[in-house]
Amino acid sequence: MSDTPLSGIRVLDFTWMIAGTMATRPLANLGAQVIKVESRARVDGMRMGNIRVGDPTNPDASVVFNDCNTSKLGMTIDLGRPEGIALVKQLVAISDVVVNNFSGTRMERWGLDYEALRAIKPEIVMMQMPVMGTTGPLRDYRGNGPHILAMLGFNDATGFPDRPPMGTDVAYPDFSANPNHGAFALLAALHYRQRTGRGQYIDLSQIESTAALLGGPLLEYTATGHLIGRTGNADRNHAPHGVYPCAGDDRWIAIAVTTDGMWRRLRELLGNPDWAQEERFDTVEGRLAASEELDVALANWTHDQDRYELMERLQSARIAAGVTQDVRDLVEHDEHWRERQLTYLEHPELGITATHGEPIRINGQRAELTRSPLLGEHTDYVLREVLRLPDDEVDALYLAGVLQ
Amino acid sequence: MSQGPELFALDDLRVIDLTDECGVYAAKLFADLGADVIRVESPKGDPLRTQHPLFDPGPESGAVGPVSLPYLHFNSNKRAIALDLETSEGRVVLERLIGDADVVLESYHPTEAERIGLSADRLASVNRQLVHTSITGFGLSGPHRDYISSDLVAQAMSGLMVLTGFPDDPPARLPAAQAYHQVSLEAAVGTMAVILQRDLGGGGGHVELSMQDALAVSTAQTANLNHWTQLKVVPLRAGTGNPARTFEVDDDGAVTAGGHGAAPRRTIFECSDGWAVITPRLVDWEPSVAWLSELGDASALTAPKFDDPAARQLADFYPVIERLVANVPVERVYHGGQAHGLLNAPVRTMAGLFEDEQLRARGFFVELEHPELGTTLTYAGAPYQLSETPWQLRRPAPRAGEHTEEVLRDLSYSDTEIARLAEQGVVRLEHALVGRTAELRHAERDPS
Repeated sequence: MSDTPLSGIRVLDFTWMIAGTMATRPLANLGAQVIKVESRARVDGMRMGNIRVGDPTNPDASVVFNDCNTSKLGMTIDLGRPEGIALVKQLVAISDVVVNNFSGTRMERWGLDYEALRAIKPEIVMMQMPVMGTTGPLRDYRGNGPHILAMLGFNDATGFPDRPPMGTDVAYPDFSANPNHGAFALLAALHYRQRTGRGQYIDLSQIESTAALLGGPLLEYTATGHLIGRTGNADRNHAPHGVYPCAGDDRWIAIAVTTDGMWRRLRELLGNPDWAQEERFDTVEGRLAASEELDVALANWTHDQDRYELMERLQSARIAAGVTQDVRDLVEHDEHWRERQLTYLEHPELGITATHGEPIRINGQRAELTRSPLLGEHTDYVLREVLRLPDDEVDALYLAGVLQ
Repeated sequence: MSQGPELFALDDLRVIDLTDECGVYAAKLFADLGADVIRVESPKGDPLRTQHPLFDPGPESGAVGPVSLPYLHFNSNKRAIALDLETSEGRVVLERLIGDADVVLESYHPTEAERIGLSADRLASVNRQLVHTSITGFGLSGPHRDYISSDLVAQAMSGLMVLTGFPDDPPARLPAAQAYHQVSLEAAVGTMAVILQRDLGGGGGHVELSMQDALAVSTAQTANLNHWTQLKVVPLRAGTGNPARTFEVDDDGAVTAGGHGAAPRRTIFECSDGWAVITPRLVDWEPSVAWLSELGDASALTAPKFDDPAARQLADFYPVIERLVANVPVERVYHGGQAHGLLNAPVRTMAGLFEDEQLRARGFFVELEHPELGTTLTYAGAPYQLSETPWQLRRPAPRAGEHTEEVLRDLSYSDTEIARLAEQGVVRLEHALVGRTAELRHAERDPS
């Protein structure tokens, strides 16, 4: 059994920044040949992103680019020239998928819209994933992860009721809804093509794709008129449920009592204090009604305990609990995550950098990742070994400056 | 009910949905592109039917307890079979279901999965072409394999919570069960990848996702890991500033500001009737000044010293923005800034989405008729628009056991066998509109 199920699929990848490049990352990690196309005049902006090493203009010195583009090939083509566009069209003819996340009409202006691609290869699957979608009155509006979160009501429902609607420092949609919905749609379209021989066009609006992760609260609003708002870490279905202080500065443990049995085991772990024996706490309704009271009592119990030892004790009693880890904790304290996910990549400019592995495991195997491509690193390989152009044609392209 | 298109991307796939709340969205992704998703529930009912928030359809509906809205959302387009997996007969039926399926999605705790016969080896021996996907809190290997998880615990352990909120508040979680969504999304991608392997002539396989691994993609990325491994800096929630990861790239890909140690970058500003995300960039100096000048006195940004681009700093914008937007409505900040090509966005409540002209113009929200509730409800719509094989809500989530008989017939069970299974309590044939009842709440899976 193979752990690279997508061997044999070729993706012509015009994505950049994060939301798009993270859509093709799992495809590449799982064996697809992903050819990332850039031009020297317009490199993927993440090549200039943090953390950087050395010369600030070096396109090969960005750690974040290296994170997002593992296992891909990289080539440069001057898309401002007709010979460059002609070369792209040759690549389209041997590809299964063409994908980009430019806003607006960029692909059209290059003459690489879906109609043009379909004329070259009728069964091509093309996906565009601009922030607002490719149609509609606001299709040219701009934004990225934090803007999407704010617009969709994530911020309004994150954090504590008496605080401003700050949301999160993580550009969450760029890593979750948008790349994964995108990858799923591409694979579904490829499955359909395998059955029918028909390609198709996928329009992924990042605001729609992210709004799809709010299905429960949106349905609640339309059905009952209730908005969830900011409720901290409280939960509608479970109590106690929250983060509780532990020994040390800014040290916390998350505890989620999700069954009555868990409550009984927690009570035992607390040493069966008198207050916890009250009958009203035996049912989730009673605990939900008393959740603030329970939070105070639990915080009293947790505040002088070591967070990892406490997690171990709670987990040994089959109670859902976990430390609110930061990145240092993940690397230094979480042997489990380190063993499953932490990956080091060797890079000629960056040296050794850390990244997370491919979270999708096939047949128990951790996917082998290779580092992201240097700018234009595989141009020659793609022309000679993938497109199989004769030497004189390759030479002519170099000489004409088309491969910039 | 709406009219279906002729074609679906996945209507040749049968998916057995054995997930709880962790994986239920993965199965929905398949169902909404046309797969035949059969959700297996206990004859007592699916514990997800008790999840808040609830909707009371009134006595004429015959509902047993108020109906769970998340249940309706996550299970539209699916069929349901009421089957008791605690009986050996029930497991035989499950095996026949699996023998005839393309995909099994399950989210049992690893020891529980083994107990009821859902190990990868066992399922592979039942059906060599099967794609079996296991969704767990911490995975099927490693020292925390047997840990119990939840949405909150996964958000904590993945590093997401410490990056969310204000430094002097406790870490906060994202709303609407994002750990469950994230792991479901990645599980669906992995599952489809192995489906494609089959299409290309290969066999089935086992796909494994952990909530912690899946959600840590959001936090370990953005080079966060290397802030620690290389710079020995630990990014933490920064409230209105985001100092650790501040940098700026212009449209030609050049770094124009920031770098580690730069001044905190502000994102959220208070307007006359709420908040807006405003992220000025030095490359947008002129359009930003033009926009701010429309709102009032922006002369602080037109001082002669700023003629030299090297003298400009993001921090120069903030006091001007703060002063000028304070008396301006959020929607004017949004559209006014975007008219200048600036990345302004409103901080809305979820109610605001229903007014959004872009979502409305593209027909994002979808109405679905619920004959069983005697009403029509409005749902979040398609995450993607596929030109040939559209996403579609075809029918509401099933009643408890609604398709038991139909599914057993699909598996060639005879009338006599079906009657016997029902009599023994292995399956339940009566349909019921089951909601939150005390009996069902006590049937919840307790990981003891």
